[in-house]
Amino acid sequence: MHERTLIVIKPDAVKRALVGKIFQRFEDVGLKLLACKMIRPTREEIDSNYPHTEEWYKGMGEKVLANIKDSELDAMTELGTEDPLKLGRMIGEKIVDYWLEGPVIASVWGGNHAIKVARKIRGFTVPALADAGTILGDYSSDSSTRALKEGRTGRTFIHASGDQDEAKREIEHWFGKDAQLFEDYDRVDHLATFIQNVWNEQ
Amino acid sequence: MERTVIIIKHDGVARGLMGEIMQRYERVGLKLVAMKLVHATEEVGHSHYPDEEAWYTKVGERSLEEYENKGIDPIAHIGTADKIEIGKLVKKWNVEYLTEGPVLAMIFEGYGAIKMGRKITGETNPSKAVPGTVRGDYTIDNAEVANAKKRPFRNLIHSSGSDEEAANEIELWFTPDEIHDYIRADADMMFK
Repeated sequence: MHERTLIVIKPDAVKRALVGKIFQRFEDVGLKLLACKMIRPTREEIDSNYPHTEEWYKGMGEKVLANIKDSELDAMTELGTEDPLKLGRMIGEKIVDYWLEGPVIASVWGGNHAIKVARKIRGFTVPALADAGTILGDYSSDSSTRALKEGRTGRTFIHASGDQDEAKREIEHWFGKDAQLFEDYDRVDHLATFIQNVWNEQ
Repeated sequence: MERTVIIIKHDGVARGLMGEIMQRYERVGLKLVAMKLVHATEEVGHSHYPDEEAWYTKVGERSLEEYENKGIDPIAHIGTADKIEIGKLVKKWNVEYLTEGPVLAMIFEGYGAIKMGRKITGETNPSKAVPGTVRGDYTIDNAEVANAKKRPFRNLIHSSGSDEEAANEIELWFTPDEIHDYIRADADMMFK
């Protein structure tokens, strides 16, 4: 149940000076910061953090298709294809350029169901479809359709690990195999937030 | 362009106030150019505070004044009335506070960043820090309690006090490759 997740605040969020606001969202829900650093990774470091599987490309393509459908547009007319894999590969090429626009903040957070909780707070990566109250819903209005037409990737703003395998791989990727994670402190509200656990353990 | 070191001490980290505090510096237009979560060694803690007679004297005198105001005998309370010895004791307490757990160390850059940082941080003594400053809004400590408990003010933040302090602290806490450059989205409109 206790999980770790990797969260990266991307260059546009840093340039818009939203780091504190974003941190506050994750802190407020009770997640604990285990590691954090501001970095400017190389093209290779960024590229190799992605799985590059067909499934990964397809997933990105499907999100663009969802955005196009929601805008009542036609994928063939707008982008010349409605194949999610092809669209995903178009994005894959541009996503590294996006990361290279400026420094990013890589962080590791821990807590109950940290992966799902962090994803929920971040929100859906198509801003128009992200719920209000999520970070993307509140701070982003980019369009992935427009982005692709302009030859760039949609500004997804924040990366948050999708599952346990991804989290493990990504934490190792950005912080190293022997990453020092600060597990040995408690949030002051720890006992009040998780008191049920304390009772269960007694 | 001036740079200042802002450190959210461990109580701020454990209280979940990092985001709230960072926003205060970000929203005036200061640019975050370095940040990391780090548990400082005792050595870093010691180097962070001056090791100079003048500093010990100043700090010791301040404490003696406080003892006198409260009518407390410093010898009975901390075993000495010597200002330098008291200064050294205060430094030891400061180091313990700074190294008690992971802290969030940051560098902010901007015109007059050091003074701006101090203004937003607020007075060292929480009971004197005005509302609207970080310390004024999130701390309630005072000299009487701090002295009675033989510890420094639990004042949440460290904020560089001078050009010299900022330069020393940047070197102590960060390597050059941990400091980054970029243009904030609002920079042109704010500073043209």
